[in-house]
Parts: sequence; structure tokens; C-alpha cells
Amino acid sequence: MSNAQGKPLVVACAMALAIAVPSLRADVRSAPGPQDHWNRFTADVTIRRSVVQAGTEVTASRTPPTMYRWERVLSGAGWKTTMEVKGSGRAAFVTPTGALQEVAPVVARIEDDGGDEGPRFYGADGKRLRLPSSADRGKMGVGDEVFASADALLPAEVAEPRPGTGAAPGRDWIDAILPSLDQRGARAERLQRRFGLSKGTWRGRDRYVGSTGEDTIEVLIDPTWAVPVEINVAHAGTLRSHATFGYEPGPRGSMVRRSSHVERSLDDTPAGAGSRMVTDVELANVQLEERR
Amino acid sequence: MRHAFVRFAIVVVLLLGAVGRPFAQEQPVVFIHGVASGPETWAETADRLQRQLEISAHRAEVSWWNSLESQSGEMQNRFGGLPNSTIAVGHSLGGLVAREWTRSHELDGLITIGTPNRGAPIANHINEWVGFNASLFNAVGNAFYGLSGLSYDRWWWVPGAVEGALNWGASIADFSIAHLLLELGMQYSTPFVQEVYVGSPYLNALNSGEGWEAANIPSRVGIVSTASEYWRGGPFRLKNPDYAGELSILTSTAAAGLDYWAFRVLADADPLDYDAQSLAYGLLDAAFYMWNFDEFWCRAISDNRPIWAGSCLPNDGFIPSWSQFYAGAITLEVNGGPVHTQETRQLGDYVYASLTNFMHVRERGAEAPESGDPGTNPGGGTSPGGGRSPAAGGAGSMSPDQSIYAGGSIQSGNGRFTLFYQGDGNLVLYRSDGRPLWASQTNGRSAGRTVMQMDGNLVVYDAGGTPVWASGTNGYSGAWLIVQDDGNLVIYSASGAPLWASGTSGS
Repeated sequence: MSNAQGKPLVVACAMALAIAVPSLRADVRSAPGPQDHWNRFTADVTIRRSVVQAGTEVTASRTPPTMYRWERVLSGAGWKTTMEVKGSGRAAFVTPTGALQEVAPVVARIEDDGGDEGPRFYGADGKRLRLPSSADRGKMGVGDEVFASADALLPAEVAEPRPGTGAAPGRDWIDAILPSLDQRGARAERLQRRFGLSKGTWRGRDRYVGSTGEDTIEVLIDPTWAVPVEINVAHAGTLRSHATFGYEPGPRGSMVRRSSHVERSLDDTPAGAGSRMVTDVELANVQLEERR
Repeated sequence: MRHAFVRFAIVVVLLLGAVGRPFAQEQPVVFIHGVASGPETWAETADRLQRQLEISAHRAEVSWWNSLESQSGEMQNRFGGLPNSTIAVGHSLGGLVAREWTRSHELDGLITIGTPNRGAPIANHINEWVGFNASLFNAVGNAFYGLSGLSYDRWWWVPGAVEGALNWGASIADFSIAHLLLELGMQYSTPFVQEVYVGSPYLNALNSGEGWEAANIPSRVGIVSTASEYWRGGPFRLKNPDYAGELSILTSTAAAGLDYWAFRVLADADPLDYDAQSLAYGLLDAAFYMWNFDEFWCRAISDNRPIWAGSCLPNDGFIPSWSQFYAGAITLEVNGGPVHTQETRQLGDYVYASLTNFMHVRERGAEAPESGDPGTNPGGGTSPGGGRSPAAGGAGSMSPDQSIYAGGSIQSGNGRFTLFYQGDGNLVLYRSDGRPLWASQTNGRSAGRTVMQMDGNLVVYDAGGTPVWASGTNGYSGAWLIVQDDGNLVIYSASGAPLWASGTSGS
């Protein structure tokens, strides 16, 4: 970090955010890396998002979480991804009789074969969602240019060819979610290639600092697993983003990146001083399976 | 000579009759439009009602953006010469204009439709709603910025994949701000906005005079409309209700798509690749606003709580139902009805029912209430849609809030059937020869009264006030009962739909 005192970014910015520093509880001596035979990954994903005004509680926006069942299955040329929507994040509405009624998710399932077609979206009735037809678009009272911009999202009458998604058929991607001890060295190498040598320690974490233009990035790394536990980003000396990551023992001796808590400033005031978007992502029931 | 004089006198009498009769019988009804509208919004309904009822329809044109007092002044300038028997029908803000007008012009009746009698919460939330959409716009911009920071070699496939979803987010934000500010005129600087927000001094003063209105306006009706799927579609439902559902699907799909791509990036990116991580969370941020687009519009028009902490309450797409209630007036509730912008065209039946049931307006050409159309519709008259239509208050009918006490009865128009509330507590329908056709089977309970309740339920109460029989038709305010000429005892909704029948037609 570039402040004169050389204090860690999180201190220099004097922000009012509570900083949770998770501890890695796995017994690293007995933790082998994930086996290479698995071909199915599943997890329950919960996303909690809220906008917090300065001085208010995180629950201020009162919106329920969005929940998915996330599955990636090795299928031929790549990983087929399916996300089933378990909760749309929509609050119940009040009926004329005063009762609360849940809103069924419009999108029930997302599928992506990992090929050139791109994701497909399905409704609760199992049918694939499509853009309104061009005949209907003219009746909607919304400019056609609006729909033109959405053509890349849903197919209408003609499905445009889509580029390949670049998803690799290997299993390396799992290290972002289930970091293994085997890959510790590779992670440390990438870290030092990106940030150079550690700038010392802070609260028992290795501290790395890098700069891009006016942005300064501070990363606190668990020294045993070489995984990030905290990332702070300042723009022109003002903290704009603060993220912490929590880990728990995962399947096959790995760690699982169980949670992330990210606060991003929504205006030009320092994070914590103005309004900010708070996003919590939690993974539960993370499993690797071998399916024949 | 004498012969010629008599003939002249007859001609004069006929002429006077021909000219004088409509003016003597036609009741002036002034239809007043609301925000971002004009007299044309009432054209279809006003013309139709004038053909069907003995009314002379007038359509007002007021400067809806001005203060309510100013609009009331316009009303008085143009319609001040109408007699005190005039009835005012106001839609949306027009209902408040009508109420204001009663301070300077006596009225025989007043009907409000979709009127923010307790305020329009959207006026409280203009800044919040604009701010929400600005945040959506910014979130989309940040996500695009995140796309530009990606390593193209590794993430070349991402920009094209998320572009559609982000553009859709920008489009709906742009539309909803323009729609609110430009099309609906909801800007703080607009005079009426300063008067119609929930809790405004103007509304407090106007509503403190409701007792005065009750004492000085013989008949008042508030038509309270809750639109179908009012919780879905955001402002698109107001703009184009037929396609709001599809637009809502697109918004939800875009939100789900952004979540999906965010997880693709999170799964495939190095946790230390800050640019990729930043993009992923940027996509999640943008998705947040899109997931909540419908919900937060609903909250913004529901009540005056901050939209972040509010709830989606029943509304007509613009005005919440709780605010449409006109205190002390007869309430006709419409559930699953049209959106605010279509109420003048689609709630004509309710205006018809209000005029005929509660304001004693007669159907055109009806010297007296006609007898019923056996098996279909008894009230006589022509319906707004051109067929037979019910109208309470005719022979053999019970209007909302009317009661029969022990020993009381109602007789069909042709005198052949009688509904008798007996001293033994039984409500019985008899044929003229004394044969019972139907009974509530409540004999043995002390007789209290039989009420055609305001909520649409026909209820027999015993002397202790305990309900002992009910038709189960509650939830249909304005419903009424009739003993038809065909021997059927029927409860009709305010719009003329049969809700319950004794099944004794043709007896």
C-alpha cells in the first residue's frame, strides 16, 4: 500500500466496516487433494444482496436471498452446467385478502452444455423461455431497440450462433472453489507473479499489494493454504471495495470456499461512509462425485 | 278558428314535451379525467352510459398538472351552470378534483374510481424510484467496465454472453425513469404532486372534510380496483398490461442470466484474478436490481415506507387499494380488474351500477323498473354491454345494506312470487298459490333480520345477532338480490354477474 506510514490499507483507510478474518480449520497434514476421478460437482448456492445506506443495518433492503442448486457435470467436450432456481429473491406480496403469497420463480432452470449455444433458460412449466416474437414486440409499447439489445440473452424466432464458452474440459477450475493443498505451490506462484513478494504480515496473514493505475489492491493470504482471506481495493487512496472469504473443510481433504462477503461502494464516498452494495455468497452441501 | 287554436295548442304541448322531457329527466353527469390524460379517456364509457341511462354526459378537460384548487376552478368555470342534481364521476386525480369541486358546486352524487383519496405513494417515492433505476444503470455500467478490464485472452467469450442482459437492464431503467417523469408527469415541481403525496397537508385538509361531504353529497361511491397480477411487470403493467408478464419474464431471465455468468466466472477464474472477481460481483450487483425491479416498483406505489423496507400491497398498478377507499362512501371493490390506465374504459359497468343502484338514475326508456328476463336477468334494462343487465332497487329487489325484519317480504315484479322472512326465523320463497319453493331452513331460530350486506353476502341473523344462514357471496361489494318473475331468487354482483340462485326458476 502506498500510504506514507506503510500501514495496511484496511487501517489507512479508517473505514467503519467490521472485518471478519476467518480461520482455516482443516488439519492440513492429513488433507490430500481432490481425486481426479470425479465428474460431477454440486452445491447449494445462496446469494444475499442488499444496498446499505450509511449507518444502517445490512438488512435494510429486506429482500430474500436468491438460491440455486448448482451442478457441473463432465459431459463429452466440456462441463455441462445446470442451475436450478430454488428461490428467486422476490419478496412475498400481499393479496387483496391480506394474506402473503410467494412469487414463483419465473426462471426455474438454467442449462449450459458448455458448447457454442450458450445457456438456455427454462420456466416452471419446463418450457424454454424465449424472447417475445417480433410480431408481439410491436404491440408492447417498448421500443424495438430494447429487444434488439436483448437478443443475445434469449432466442426469438432465430437463434443466433454463439461463440464457444471457452470452458476447459479439465478439472482445474475446482481449485477456485475447493482449493487443495496439492495446488498450494501453484497458487503461491501465481500470487507472486501477480503481486511480487509479500509486504509482510497482518493479523497472521501474508500481505500482498499491487497497483493498477489509480487502483491499489491489497490481498491478505492464508500462509498455509495460499488462499485469499481478504481483498481490499482503493481508488485514489479511497477504499472502494472490501471482501472477505471464509473456508471450511471440504470433500476429499480440500478446503471449500464456503462464503464470501463483499462490500462495494456505490458512490464516490469511501466504503462505509456512503451507500454500498453488500453481497454474501454461501456454498453449502458441496460434493464431488464420480458418476459412471 | 277555434279548431286551429286547439291544434296549435296540441303542437305546442307536444313540442314542449319533446324538448322539455329529456331536460326534465336527464341527470347531468360530469366525467373527469386524471393524470396524464384528457376527456377522451371517458369517451367510450360516457357515450355508452348516455345511450343507456337518462343522463346527459359531460366530459371535463382540466389542466391535470395544476393544483387541485386550480382544476376545481376550471370545473366551476365550465360546469358551474349545471343544476345541483349533477353527478360527478372522477377517475384517479379526477376524483380528487371532483371532491374539491363540491366545495363550490353542490352535487347530487360523486363517484371516485382508482382515486388516491389517501394519497399516491409514488409521489412520496419519486426520488427513490429514480435513484433505484439510476443505481441499476450504474450497476450495468460498472459491469460493462468490469468486462473491459478482463484479460481478453482468457475471458474473450464473456462480453458477448452478458451484453444482452446488461443492455436489457439499462433499457428498463431508462424506460422507467422516462415513463415516470415525462409520461406521468411525476416530478416534484409539478403542482399536483405536492398535493397528492401520502400525508400531504392538502390531503389532510381535504379528508378532514369527509364529514362535510357525507352531509352534503346525497350519494357517494368509491370504486376500488385491484389489478390482476399487480405485483408483476413493474411500470410496464401500467404502460402495457397485455405484455407486462412477458417483459417481466425477460427481466427475470436477464437477472438469472447475470447470476449464471457471475458463477461461471467465479468457478473458472483464479480467486486472485481481481478483474475477473470484480466482474463477477459486478454482475451479481446488476442482477440484484433486476431481480427487484418489479418488487420495488410495487413497493414504491404501495405505501410511503422507504421502498427498501416496504411491501408490495394490492394496487391497480399506480394507486394502492387502501388509498382508493373513499371514507364513508359506498365501496365497490374490483379484484383482478384492469390497471389504472384502463379503468375508465373497463370499469364502465361499475359506474353503471353505481348510478342505477345508488343514485337512482333510470335506464333510458324505462317508465318504471322492468320485470325480469326469466332465468337470466331480472332487473330490467339494457346492460352496458348491450344485453340484459341487473339493476338493484327495482321491483322485488334488495339493494346493498337493506334488511327485511320478521314478517317482512319482497314480491317479484309480476306479483307471483314472494320472499317472506317468517316469524319463526325461516326465510321462505313462496309461489302465489302458497306453495313453498325454497327455504333457508332456519326455522326454530328466533327471528332477527335478513340483510343484503354491503360485502355481497345475504345473511339471516337470529334475534341475538348470530348469523344462522348465509349465501356465501361475500367479497362482492354492491351485490344485490332479486325475486325474479320466473320464481328464481338470485344474487347478482354489482357488474351483473349471478353469484347465487335458489334454483327455482320456472316453478
